[in-house]
Amino acid sequence: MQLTGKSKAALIIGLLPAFLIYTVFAIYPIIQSFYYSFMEWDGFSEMEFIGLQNFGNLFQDELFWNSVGNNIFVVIASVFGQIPIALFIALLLNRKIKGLKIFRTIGFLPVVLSTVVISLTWSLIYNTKDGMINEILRAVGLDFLAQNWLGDTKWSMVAVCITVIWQFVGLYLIIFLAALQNIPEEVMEAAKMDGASEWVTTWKITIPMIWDTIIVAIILCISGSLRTFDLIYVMTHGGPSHSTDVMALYMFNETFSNLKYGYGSAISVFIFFFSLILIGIVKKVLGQKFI
Amino acid sequence: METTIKKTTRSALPLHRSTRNMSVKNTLIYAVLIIFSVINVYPIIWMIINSFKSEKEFAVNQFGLPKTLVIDNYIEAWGTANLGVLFKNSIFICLLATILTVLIGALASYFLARIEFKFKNALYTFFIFGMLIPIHATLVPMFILLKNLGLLNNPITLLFPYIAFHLPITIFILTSFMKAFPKDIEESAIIDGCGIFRIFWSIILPMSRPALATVIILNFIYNWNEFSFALVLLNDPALQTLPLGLASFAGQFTVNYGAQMAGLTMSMIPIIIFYLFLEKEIVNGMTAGAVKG
Amino acid sequence: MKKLGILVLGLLLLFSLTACSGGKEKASGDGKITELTVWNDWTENRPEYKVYKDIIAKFNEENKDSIHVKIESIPHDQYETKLRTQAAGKQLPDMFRVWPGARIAPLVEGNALLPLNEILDTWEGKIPEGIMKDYAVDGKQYAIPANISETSLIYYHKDAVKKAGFEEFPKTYDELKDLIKALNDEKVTPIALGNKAIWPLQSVYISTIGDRFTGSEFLPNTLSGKSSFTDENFVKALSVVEELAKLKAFNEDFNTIDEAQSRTLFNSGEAAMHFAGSWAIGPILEGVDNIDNIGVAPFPSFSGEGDTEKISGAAGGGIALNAELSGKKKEAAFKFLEYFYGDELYQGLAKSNIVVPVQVEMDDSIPEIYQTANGFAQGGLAPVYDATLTPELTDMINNGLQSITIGEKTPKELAEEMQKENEQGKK
Repeated sequence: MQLTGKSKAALIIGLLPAFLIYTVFAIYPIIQSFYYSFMEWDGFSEMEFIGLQNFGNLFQDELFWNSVGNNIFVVIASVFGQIPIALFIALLLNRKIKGLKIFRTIGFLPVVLSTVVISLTWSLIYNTKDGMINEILRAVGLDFLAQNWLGDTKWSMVAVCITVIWQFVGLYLIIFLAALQNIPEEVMEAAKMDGASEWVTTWKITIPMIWDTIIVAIILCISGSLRTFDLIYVMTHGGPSHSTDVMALYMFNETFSNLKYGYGSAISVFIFFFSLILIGIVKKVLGQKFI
Repeated sequence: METTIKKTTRSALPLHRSTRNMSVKNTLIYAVLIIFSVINVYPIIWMIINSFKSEKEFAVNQFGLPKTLVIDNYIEAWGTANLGVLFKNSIFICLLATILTVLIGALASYFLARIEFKFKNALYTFFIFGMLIPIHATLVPMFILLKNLGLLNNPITLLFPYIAFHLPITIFILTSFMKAFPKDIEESAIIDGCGIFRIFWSIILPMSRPALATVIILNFIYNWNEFSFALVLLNDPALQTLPLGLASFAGQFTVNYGAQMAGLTMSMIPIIIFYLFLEKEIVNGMTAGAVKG
Repeated sequence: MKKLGILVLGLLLLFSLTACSGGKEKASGDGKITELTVWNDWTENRPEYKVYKDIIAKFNEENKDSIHVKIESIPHDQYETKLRTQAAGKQLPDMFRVWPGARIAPLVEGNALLPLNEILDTWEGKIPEGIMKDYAVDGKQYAIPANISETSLIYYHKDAVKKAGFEEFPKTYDELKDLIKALNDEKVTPIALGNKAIWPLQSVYISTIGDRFTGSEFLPNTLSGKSSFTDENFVKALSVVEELAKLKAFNEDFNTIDEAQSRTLFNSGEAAMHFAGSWAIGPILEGVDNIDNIGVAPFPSFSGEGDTEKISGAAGGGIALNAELSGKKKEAAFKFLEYFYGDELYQGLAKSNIVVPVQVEMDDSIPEIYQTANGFAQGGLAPVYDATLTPELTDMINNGLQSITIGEKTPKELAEEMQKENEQGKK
């Protein structure tokens, strides 16, 4: 729709509230934080301008790169875990089967749970001594597969990622369901009339029709995973031996435990641009007019 | 619900498939869905069961049913953490922040999705950037900003960060949804003599129901569980929100799991009610979509 | 949609009304009363917190015409995050709980704290100099200790130790190792440890083990550059942790459970020993069925260069004042501190089984393990690592010890890493 003279005012009225509150309370603080990244500051004493030194140190910081690596692992696990599972379940639920409502509600439950509950339960499930997984493995005679899931650096990241996937599948499930339910019924009926098998209908009609939503979900998933904090903070504190440290957690610790505000801010700047680049790449690959 | 079932039977008729084949397939589908549900629901049941165990019993018997139902945990959780006040504050902030975010966000999305103007794409990009901001980086600047504005320790303090940080995802979801509407909607409305805001309110908003329900739920959950801003920006115990109160059960040297579980169970209830309530909206949205198509 | 809207509006109205009425009730100050806010982490339901709160309530009652102290409690794990944000915004409360040593140093450096030297006479001769100094920086006192946290005690089940063939709790490290082996043979977990939050191996274990090997002067000397973390004795101390892990001295899941969780393991009798600080006395008294079966011992001797009597510990429970207090507020705050850190506090704490820095009378109602633990403090205290090291070094040794237990790092590597940070940090 093109704007006429009068509706210019409407445009301003419509966009100004969002623009103002977002600029003042989200953009301004992060710019402030970018500014700290050029400072040496412990939060108490006077700030000292040190130029790019924080970034110089950052690029040589092995523990930081370790957290970047772990974070990429989380992103990959989330995108390839959450999205396919959510889509699959959503497609099953979209068949208007009996009990749809119950399944949908249950599917969404983990999303509303607090991180504390999730981390407590899963820590117990993973417990090496009498956790559920190891108990089951021992019960069926697969003792040799039992692991110290969270306590062994080989497994800790995998264990944490499974929990992350579990936590958020429901979110994408709901998003996909909403999209699937919005596909006009006539389209599906027509396909069925033509005798197309379900497999073909799903791949040739359903998925393309919600492709935009899938990309939205993937981008949400990436931006969310790059900022993962709460669950890992409560579940493992980034341990053992930094094996589950992620960028936001490392930033938080450097800032609030080690009192390096400037350095922590430099990490935030990195997270921001890193996310930007990664999402840019995804966009290019999947080809959507996002941003 | 009734109509959906009818539709299913009708559409199933022309497919000449043997009933046995169908039932094997249905069984499989149900099996998958039931496994999925069990995995999802287990931790919640676990939490509820353990909220009725004494601390000693929890230590030795984490997976079984409680031997006796201990309701002390609930009494302690309600009393120690002053849950009544926390609930009130949380509901107040969550509802207000969610409504404002969705309203402001939907309005902005409408212009960003449906109307051509200069810098439109730049503005959209600007909003979407917000999804990449690691919020813990803004704790200190946010504190200083709100202090300078004299907005610390106010019942509405948390509204500002909550709205600001959730506008991006709200705008992102709503804009992509609204973009998909056919182009002639507004044109016919304009011919009918509707103004821009009228079109927004009476046509676009009702059509966006499924997406609105999604963002409302998302916003509510984020706000309900948000911890860091609430911790840093509020001092007055009379203003604090639920997650802060629950955190006071778990300390460095003692952990009262029973009371924590009881508190968490209680804190989960409003959000589930809220979700069930909106779920109807999603279902309605589905029928609305069918009518539209 | 409409119904939802009406419902939501109705709810909001309701809440805004209640919110308003709540706000009005509070406006009671008439200007004559000096209000002081004190921040703390007393959120849990623990007896010593009740002692603190009761004394403040009593103080408020006695001074109700002039001073009111307002308590604001923040969960322990979030306390420092909040304090630091507030400090960065120059918005510290009037009074706030602080931890000793390295942890108050940055606050002092940032001129955030008010020295208490003008009122120090009150505690002259009551609290030993050696304990007061934990809260002093460069000759200025910034808080008064309420308690002593001994960080390294060994709690044990007497019957389990006896069953493993030990009439008496081991006095040397070699004997302790034998005990661990014997317990393992009996399929009893030797030591309950919960190191998920990574501080216990450092604070509880290395603080005392390190002191036994290197002596108490090692830490200050190393931090000032006179000696090095690569010192052979320090590496030996770190190796003890490695050796214990290899001996399977701990419960299998020690890196994934909390300190408090590990205590339930000990309380239930599943583990024979538990190394923890004096903070564990209360929870153990409450959690075990037969308290007479519980013994408490100091760490064994390691035949190193340090004193074999000393155990590590630090002062605790200090409340610091905001440097910006002046005039009436400052006077009121001083008056409060003098009242708060009085006999009543120390007696109340002793009854709650908290080790205190002053002499209190003990009668038979006081449990044996508390009396024993209290006695250990008399031998003098060795420095606690995380109260002495810089935050960076603490973080490094915490993580490093965890890595050592899972074979990701050797004691020597950790020592070298720490020394490197120590040299860089001073630049």
